[in-house]
Amino acid sequence: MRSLHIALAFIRVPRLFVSLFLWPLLVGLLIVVVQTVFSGGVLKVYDEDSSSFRKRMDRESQNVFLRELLYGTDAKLPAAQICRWQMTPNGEVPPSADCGINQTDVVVKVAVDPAAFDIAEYQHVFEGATHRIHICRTCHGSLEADLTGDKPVTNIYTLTGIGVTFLSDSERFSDISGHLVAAMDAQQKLEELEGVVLLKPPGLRGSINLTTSKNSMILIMNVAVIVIVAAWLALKAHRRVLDYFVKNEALLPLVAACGKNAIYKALWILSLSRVTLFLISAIVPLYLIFVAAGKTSGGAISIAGKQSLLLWMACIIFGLSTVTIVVSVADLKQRYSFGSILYRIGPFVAWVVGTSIWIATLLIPGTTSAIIQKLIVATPILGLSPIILAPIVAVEPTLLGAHALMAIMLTLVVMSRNTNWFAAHLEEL
Amino acid sequence: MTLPQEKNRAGIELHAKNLQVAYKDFIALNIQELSLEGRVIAIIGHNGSGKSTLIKTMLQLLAPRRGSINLKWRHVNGSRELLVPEEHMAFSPENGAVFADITVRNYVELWCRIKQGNPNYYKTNTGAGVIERLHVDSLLNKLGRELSKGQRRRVQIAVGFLTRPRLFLFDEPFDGLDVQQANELGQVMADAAKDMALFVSSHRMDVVERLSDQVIVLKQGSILTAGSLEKVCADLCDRSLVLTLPEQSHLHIEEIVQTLRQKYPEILVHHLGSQIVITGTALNSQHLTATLNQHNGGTVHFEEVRPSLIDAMNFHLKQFASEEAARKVSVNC
Repeated sequence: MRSLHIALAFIRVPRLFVSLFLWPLLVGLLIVVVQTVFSGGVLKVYDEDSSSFRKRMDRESQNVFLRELLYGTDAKLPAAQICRWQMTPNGEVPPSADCGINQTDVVVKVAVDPAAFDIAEYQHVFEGATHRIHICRTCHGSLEADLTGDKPVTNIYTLTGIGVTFLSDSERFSDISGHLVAAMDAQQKLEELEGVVLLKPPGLRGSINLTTSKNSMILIMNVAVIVIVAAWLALKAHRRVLDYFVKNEALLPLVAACGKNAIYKALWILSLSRVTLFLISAIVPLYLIFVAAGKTSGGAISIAGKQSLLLWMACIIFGLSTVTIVVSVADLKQRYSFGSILYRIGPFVAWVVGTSIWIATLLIPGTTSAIIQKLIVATPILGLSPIILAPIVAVEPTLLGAHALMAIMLTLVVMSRNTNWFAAHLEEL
Repeated sequence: MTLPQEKNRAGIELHAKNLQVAYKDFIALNIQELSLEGRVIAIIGHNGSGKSTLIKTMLQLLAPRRGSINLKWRHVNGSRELLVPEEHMAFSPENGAVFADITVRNYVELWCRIKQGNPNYYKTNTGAGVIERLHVDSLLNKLGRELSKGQRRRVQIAVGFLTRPRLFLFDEPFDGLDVQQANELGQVMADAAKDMALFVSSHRMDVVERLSDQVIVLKQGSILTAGSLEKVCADLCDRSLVLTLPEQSHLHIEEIVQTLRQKYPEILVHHLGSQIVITGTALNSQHLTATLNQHNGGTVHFEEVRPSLIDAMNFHLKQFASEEAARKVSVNC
C-alpha cells in the first residue's frame, strides 16, 4: 500500500504524469490510428469483388482533379495535335506557328527523320494527358520521351511534367482495369466451385476456415506488427522510468525517506504501469476492429464472444508485458557479461521454440500431442503465437485464462525476485 | 552560530560494533567499536575515508557485510527509542537532488504528499516557516535544472525539514557554497538543532567546530578518533600554544614563524594577526620560549590553549604526510 501511495504521488506530479504516462498513451493511440487506417484500407481492397472494383474504377476515372489543375477544365482532352519538327538551314523548327512548345506538351525525341516516325503508340500512351506531342531531334520540353539511345528514357524537368505523367498513368490504368475485372470474375468463379475451404490439422480441436479467415489473417498479421512495435516501445518505456530516476539523482533522499523496499516497489509499479499502458492503448482498441471485422466477415473471427475477446486481449497485454519485463531485467542484469545479447533475445528464442512445438502438435494427432499443445498455449512467452492466432485457431477460453493468469504471476515473480538487484542496480548508477 | 548549551538535552546515541561495509571486494568501512551521544555529530576525514558510506549505512541504504550499527533517540527523561530511517530521518545528499524537469513547487508538493499526506503542507504555518527560512519561496516556480548547486541543496534541505525528522543527515552540505552561503546554512542548521539532531559530514572544519558537540574522524575507513571536540583535538595533536606579540614589539612575526618552522619542522606553526599558534605533540613551552628569547634577544611568553579542530586536523595531516614520505623512502631503500 505504501508503495502504491508513493507511485500515485509520482503520477500526480503533472510533468511526471505527462512524460511517464500521457506520452506513451498518445503514442499507443497513434499506433492504433495508423493501424486502423492501414488495416481498414487493406480489408477494403481485399473485400472488393469485380463489380465494386469496376464501380471504383469508374469513380476514379471521373476524378478530374489533376486535369483541372493542369488545364483548368474537367472535360476530357481532345486527341493530341502532332507536331513533326522540320530541319532548316537555321536549325530545327516547328512545322507551324501553333506548334510552339507549351509547359504541358510532350516531346518525343527521335534519332530518325521526325516526318517518318510512327507516333501511334506514344499517341495512345499520352492520350487525354496532353494537348500536343512534338516529334523532334533537338527540341526541349517539360516531359521528354528520349528515343535516341539504345533504350527509351523519359526525362521530367518540371512539376507540370510530373502532373502530365500522373494523368497519363491514370488514363491508361482505366484502360487495363477491364482486364483486372475479368481476372477477378474468373477468380470468383473458381472460389464458387471450391466452396468453403477448411484446413483440418490432425492435432487441432476444430478446423480453420481458410476461405473466411483471409480477412482475419490480414488483421492478425497487422496486429502482430503492431504488437511487436508496441512491445519494443514498452521496453523503451520500462527503461525510461528507470533512467528518469537515476539521471535525476533524486533517488537517494527518496529511498532514505521512504524506505528501500517501498520506493523500489513504487518504481516497479510505475514501470509496469507504463509498459501496460503502452500495450493497452495499442491493443485494446483493436477489440473494436475485431468485433467489426467479425460482423462483416461472416464469422471469420473464431472468438467472437465479448468475454473471449477481452480474455484474448488480456492474454496479449500481460503476455507481452512479461516478455518486456523479462527482457529488460535480463538485459540490464547481465549487461557486463560476454553473452548478454543472449539474455536479450532469450525470450524471443523461447517464443520461436514454443511456436515450433505448437505447430508440430497441430500436425501430430494423439493425446500426448494434445496435452503438450495445451501446455504450450497456457505457458507465457512459449505460447504467444497461438494466443496471437487465437481468432483463427479457436483457442479454448480456459487456456486463454490460464495464459493470462500465468503471465501475471510470472511478472510478479520476476518483479519480486529482482527487487534487491534492481535497488542495487539503481544505486550503482 | 553557537548551539544552546542545554543540560540533559534530548539527542541521539550511535552504537556500532564490528561494523564492516564493503563494495564488492573493497572494504570501505571497518569500525571495531563506536559509541557516541550527542545532538550534532560531525564526521570528518579525507575524501574516500568512508564518510558517505557511514551515512548510507546509517540510512540503511547499504547493508553491512558484518557487525551492526544502530541509532537511538534519547528523550529528555532518559528513555530511548530506536530510529528508523523512513520514519525518523531525513537526508541531504552532496549534490542536492531535485528532478531536472519539474518545478521546485511540484517537487516540494511531491515530498509533502509522500511524507505528510498533504501536498500543501509547505503552505501551513510550520511548513511556510521552513520554506521562508531557507529562501525557497523565490525558487518555487523554477525548474530543477535551473537551480544552482547551492539552491538545489537548499531545496533538498527544506524538504528534509518538512518531513520533521528526529535526525537529519547532511553529506558535505557546505561543498560548493561561498563563505556567506556556508555561514547562512550553518546558522539554519544551528537553529534546526534546537528541534532535531544533526549528523554532518564536512571538510569545513571551522563550521563543524562551531556546530557540533561530537566529532568522528575517519581515516581509510576506520575510526581515527571520536568523541567531544576537546577529546578529538587532544587525540589529534595534544595541545596548542599561542604567542601574542605586544603591539610595540620589536620582534617581527614572520621571522619568528620562520625560526620556529626551521627549528621544529615536526610542529605546525601559523600566525593570525599578532598571534602565533603552535600546534603539536609534546610541546615544551619553556624550551620554545628559551629558543625564541635566545634568537631574538627579547622576552616572549606562550599561553597554552585547546587546539582548534582545524589546527588539530592540519597537524594530523602534516604528520600523516611525513609518515607517508618516510614510508616511501624506506620502501625505496
